Amino acid sequence: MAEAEQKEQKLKLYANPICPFAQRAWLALEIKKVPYEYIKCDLREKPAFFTEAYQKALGAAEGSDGKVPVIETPDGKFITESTIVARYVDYVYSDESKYGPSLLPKDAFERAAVEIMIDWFGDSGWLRFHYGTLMQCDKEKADASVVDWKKKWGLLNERLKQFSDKGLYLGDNKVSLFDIVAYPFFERLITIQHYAKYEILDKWMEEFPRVKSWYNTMQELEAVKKIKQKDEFFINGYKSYRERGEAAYKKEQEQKAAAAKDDK
Amino acid sequence: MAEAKEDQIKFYSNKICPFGMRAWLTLEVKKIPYEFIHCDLKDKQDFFKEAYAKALGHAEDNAGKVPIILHKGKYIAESSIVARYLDYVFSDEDKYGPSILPKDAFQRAAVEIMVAWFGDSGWLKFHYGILMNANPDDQAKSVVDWKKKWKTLNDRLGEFCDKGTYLPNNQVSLFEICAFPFFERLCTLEHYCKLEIYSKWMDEFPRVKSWYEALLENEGFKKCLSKQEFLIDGYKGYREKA
Repeated sequence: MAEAEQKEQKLKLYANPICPFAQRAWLALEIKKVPYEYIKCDLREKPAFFTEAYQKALGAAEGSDGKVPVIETPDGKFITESTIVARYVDYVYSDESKYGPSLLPKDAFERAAVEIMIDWFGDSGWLRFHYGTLMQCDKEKADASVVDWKKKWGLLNERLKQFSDKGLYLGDNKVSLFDIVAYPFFERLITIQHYAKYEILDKWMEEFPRVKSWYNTMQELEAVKKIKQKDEFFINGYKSYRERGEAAYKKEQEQKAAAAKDDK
Repeated sequence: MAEAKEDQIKFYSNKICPFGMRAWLTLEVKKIPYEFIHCDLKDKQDFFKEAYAKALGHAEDNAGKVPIILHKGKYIAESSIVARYLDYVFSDEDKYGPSILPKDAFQRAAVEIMVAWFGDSGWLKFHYGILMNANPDDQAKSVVDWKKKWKTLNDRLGEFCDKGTYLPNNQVSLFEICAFPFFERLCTLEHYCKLEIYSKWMDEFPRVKSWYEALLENEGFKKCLSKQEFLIDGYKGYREKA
């Protein structure tokens, strides 16, 4: 089969709309208008077709039975790991007349800047703060963690100014791999706002206007709008994370009480 | 035709630093012309701190880290980004050889997976952790956990071929560039922590051994190797903190 035809055969995306990692791959496919088939996978009761795909996938973690996203390419290869999947999609579907510009800019310096932002976001501990704040029911600990997280918000606010004082990282509505890697977690901030009662989307965004501009611009992208989930969906979907945090907190309190009793 | 002066690479580094070595290996493997500017990491020179302050990717809370490159008037920091940048700019295969990110999309993804895995595996935390912790019980436990990662690496290296570099035909990739410097510095763990890594561990993990030995033979890599005494001496300060 001619390579061009093969590409037009649909790529399969094994995903779940709750998952921010899967959303990275989903966004890449939508932004680049790559033909794909979305195969929804239950993450609590993983179907056999999903776990089998994962076992075959390049990048599968040795101790896991299945993580989204996984893609199945038209030539029958399975690949996992969200950022790598996004890179793969961007690299293979490189015909700009069909799929638009690459998520990694042509200009070498801009390209390096996007890579820097991706690494910085990963190394900053952003995800640990995100999930940590969602799950931390000890108000003092949560407040302390928020102080540290906001330092990262401050750094992000500054770093986003590299090329432009508003809009996407590169400015000019040029979507980059950084935007795709980071955005899904911002879409889920509503869960932290709801459960941990921090006014992130109102107050924090006002404190960090460059982040706010980036976030608002992302929300206006066609591809983002197309796949965006409702706030209630996320709040509901992350209830179990909060419940795990509540259980951990309760246990801590019980251990403290028992220790205090022993001291008497 | 002589290249414009602006196009030459000024490379700010220090031979002791494994992160600096990632950029150095890229320069040598791809035979990119450069000027090596030695930076003192203990007593940071002004020119070094100034370059770092201007560099794309510099950490806000650090006065100076290597590597930095200066190219076409712009400074860039962060080892793996510098490697990627050099590879992308110096892409003429006739002059600079093959890219360290393969053309084949699946192989390319595989290299990205390995680079990400190496970073996320905690390899560096084990490496420095063992070097800097003199408690033998802690060391024993860390070694057990680290060897699980060695096993994973041993298995993953077998993806395309059973010996040599990760990719077939001894093709150096971004993974080799990112990981190798830490394997060169295992001699410091051998020396200070009394671990028989190059002998015993490598025999336990033959695919890793084959990978490491192939790189010791690579022309570009050979240009960047340091004497073991230099490295052992250089890391004395880390051990003394333990």
